[in-house]
Amino acid sequence: MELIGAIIAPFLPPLLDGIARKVRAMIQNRVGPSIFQTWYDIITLLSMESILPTASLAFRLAPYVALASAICMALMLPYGSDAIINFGGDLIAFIYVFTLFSAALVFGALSVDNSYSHAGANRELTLSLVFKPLFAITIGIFALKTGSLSITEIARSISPSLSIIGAYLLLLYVTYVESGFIPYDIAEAETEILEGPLTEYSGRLLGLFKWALQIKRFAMIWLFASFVALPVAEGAIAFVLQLLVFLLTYLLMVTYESLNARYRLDQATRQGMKGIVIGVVLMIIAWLGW
Amino acid sequence: MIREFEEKFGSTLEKKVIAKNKVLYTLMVRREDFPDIINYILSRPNTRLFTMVGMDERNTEESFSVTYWFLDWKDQEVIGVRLYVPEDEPYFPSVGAFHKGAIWFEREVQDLLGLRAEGLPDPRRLILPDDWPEGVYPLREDFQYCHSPAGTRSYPYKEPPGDSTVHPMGPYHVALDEPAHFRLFVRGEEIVDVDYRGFYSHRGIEKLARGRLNYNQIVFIAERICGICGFAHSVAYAQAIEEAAGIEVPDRARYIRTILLEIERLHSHLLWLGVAAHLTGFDTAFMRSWEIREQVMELAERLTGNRKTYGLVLVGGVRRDLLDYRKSLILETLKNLRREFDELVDMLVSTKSFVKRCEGVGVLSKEKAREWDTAGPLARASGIDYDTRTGLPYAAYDELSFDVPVYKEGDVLARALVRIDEVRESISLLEQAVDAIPGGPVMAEFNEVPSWREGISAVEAPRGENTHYVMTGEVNRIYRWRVKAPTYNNLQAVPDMLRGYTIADAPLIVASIDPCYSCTERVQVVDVESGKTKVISLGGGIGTCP
Amino acid sequence: MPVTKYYPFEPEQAPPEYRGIPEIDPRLCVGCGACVNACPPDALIKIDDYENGMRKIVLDIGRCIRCARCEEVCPTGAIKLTQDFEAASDDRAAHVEVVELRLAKCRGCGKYTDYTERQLQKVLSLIPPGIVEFDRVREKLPLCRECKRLLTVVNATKFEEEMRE
Repeated sequence: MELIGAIIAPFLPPLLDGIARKVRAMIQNRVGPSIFQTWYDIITLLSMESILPTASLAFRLAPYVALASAICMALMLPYGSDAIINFGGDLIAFIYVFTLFSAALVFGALSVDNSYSHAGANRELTLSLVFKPLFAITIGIFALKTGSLSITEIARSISPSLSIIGAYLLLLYVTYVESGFIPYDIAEAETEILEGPLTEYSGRLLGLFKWALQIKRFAMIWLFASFVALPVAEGAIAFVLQLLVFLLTYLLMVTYESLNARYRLDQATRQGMKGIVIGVVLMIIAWLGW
Repeated sequence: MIREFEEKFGSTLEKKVIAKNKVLYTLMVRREDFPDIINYILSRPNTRLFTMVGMDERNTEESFSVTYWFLDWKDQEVIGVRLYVPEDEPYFPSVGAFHKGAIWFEREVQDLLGLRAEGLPDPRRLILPDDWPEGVYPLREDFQYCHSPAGTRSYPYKEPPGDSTVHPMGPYHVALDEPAHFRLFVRGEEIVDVDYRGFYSHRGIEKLARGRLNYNQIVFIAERICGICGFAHSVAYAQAIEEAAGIEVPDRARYIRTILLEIERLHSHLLWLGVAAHLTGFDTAFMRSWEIREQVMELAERLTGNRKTYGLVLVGGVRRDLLDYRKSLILETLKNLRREFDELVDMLVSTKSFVKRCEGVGVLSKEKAREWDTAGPLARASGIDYDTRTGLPYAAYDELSFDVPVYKEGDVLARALVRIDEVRESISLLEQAVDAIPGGPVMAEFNEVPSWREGISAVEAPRGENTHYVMTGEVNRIYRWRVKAPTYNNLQAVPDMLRGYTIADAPLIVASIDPCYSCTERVQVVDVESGKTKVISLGGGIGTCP
Repeated sequence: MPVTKYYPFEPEQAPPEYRGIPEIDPRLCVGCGACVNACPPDALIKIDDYENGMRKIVLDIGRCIRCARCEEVCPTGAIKLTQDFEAASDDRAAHVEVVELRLAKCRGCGKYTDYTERQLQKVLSLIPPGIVEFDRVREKLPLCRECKRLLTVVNATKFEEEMRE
């Protein structure tokens, strides 16, 4: 069952992005591109050569590292009741791989001599410093309440309580932010810093990066969907439920994104700090038993 | 203002009356009085530097001339002060030394005519490209329009202060519609200082008009100075010629011009709202705003034959009449527009993320706004109560009633609110004009445009005041045409607005003045082949070095 | 109802007032050159060949700014702006329209004049027939400038002699 994950994780996200573009177009009264457009874009990019502005190895490796981490993240999540990569403590590995993704973005950006890339790297680092700990705290609440450090185990054994409900809400927030929806797509803002870390990338390397970003977004939302579906179902039914919750959450997030402007870095980090405080409070509540 | 000025200085100056409220004074003898005279005019509460014209009058007066024009917008009067600058000693005292708004004018005159202002704080090139040779001045009479000299030189940018790095915004940037180079000196995300290099779209319009075009042909060039406010330019030009020639435009034509000027203002402000939303990532508002704007464009197409280049003005009146079915078209469009615009504004104002991006960002204080002689919504958002439609009325504005919105905060949100209010005022103005339009001819009968007359006129374009100065020449041609667009003044104020804010705010702040680089940069010629490649290689190098 | 459409797969029609690409009707054009004088960007030019007696009016819609001044000043309504706006072509020559007219030949010296035969016919059709007879207009046409001046002098001298008698 879980082997489906190996097919969905790499190949579904571009289709989802295409659906997102179509939904946004419908909200804006336009015809919009076809839902396969993102697929066409990625395929076109992968077939073009990359112009290299620097001889640095970090520049050339970063997209591959990002893609590998994103796929790894997705494979650590359950499809149905099981995950392909499943071992005790894989939660820590998940957080590690998740952070590796941002690190790859930052290293790729810093390896070029371009102040726009550096600005983008700066933003990505700042956001990571705030939101990765928030993510860890949120997942930590779940881990604390279910007494396990394996994602699939946690997902299967969640039972409702005060801190868990708070944790769900916080998880929704962090998922939205880390998926890079507006108002939080600050690191890759096109109109402000010409796409930040991705500015100097072109051709195949750019295609890989974009694909990796979409897979990461998929993994984040799939994690949330798993935490909602797995406690109440098993096997194939669980998978179907995951899919439905995923699609619903995704569409709601895309709709919310269309109705918002982008935050400035300081506004987003301030919000994130407040989230961390709430997370710590919830963790204390969880530790006290509620 | 004129009367008091006359009492104080009139005895030493030669006076020439241009129109009933516009007078030109020429300084023939005591050149050392010049700074005092200018200081006196600028120290009055409601004056601004209207425009400055450098002319090559060696054929008629045997020297160059530099004329500073000032406007008092409460008294509705215009004063010009002219100084003759001989060819062998091409220097004159700088006004930019004590009034910042004159700096670009003096740099331009230095580039194009070779007249140096003594004491000018920033004597670098403004308009000519980096590789233009020294000593060749395009706007002089002995320079041929098609002449393209070769040369090499590089532009001296300011050095970044202390520990900041250079973050070049431009010449090509997603947030800019046209090439412009804002060299930001940043520390992290914070902007410490800015250096501006522009005039990449300089096209040589003033020299072109000098050559071989007659009056009515120049109207069409004037329309193409700008891609958004072109009609305002063509009306300002026509008004300047009509003043110089003493032609009286019939009432119906004045009303038709007013109607189209307001339609242009509507489409420009709606465009701006969309662009501002897009720059903050709020694409839904962008699409909605331009969807609403589409009705205005279609209305313009039905009225004039084209969505943007209306081609309606000729010297002496307008070319097309406003037939009845067109009137009802206007009223219907306005009804829809009003409703949909209100919904759009509600959406924008209630989206907290958008408002937070605009509030308190890019503040320009009232003193600074006055120093740089800013115009239009930028000035009105900083508390300066100046609108050319009330300050120097033209077309049918003195017969219509409307409010001029003024806000004090001077941030991006204030500028947005000024423009939003102006859209509502425009809708009301249009309804009044369509209702009150008189009958009669649409074109004045006149015989000829006499030679060697001067006219100066201004129009409130969506971005501020457009000033056109004209000196008529022989055989139906122009001797000198000077265009000043509002963005000319507004761009000079941008460095002051950017200091202390972040890179994320920079595109929004620049966009909030609604910059129209094509309007600003209209003057001289660059050889397309060699000039272009040289500029690009310089610009490309600067863009990729931190 | 979306506000965008699949142009160019769906056609787009401009409204009737639209100022589109100009077109010359060669049957109506008389080659007077009023349009050439009025055109701001010199999209219309007039080329006279006095050896072969032909005049070409050349319209380049690539230079045209669609201002419709030519349509306004044309005395016969030959040049009109259509509602077409699709001017893209991979052949630059597709933008150029040429109308060739014959120049009138002077009946005095046999050289070509600087006006066309059609201009002559148009003028004759405008003048009331009584005046054509009275002023013996047909005898004076077509004449080039020198021959016209010569004829004036000859007529004036003849008239003076008649008066003296």
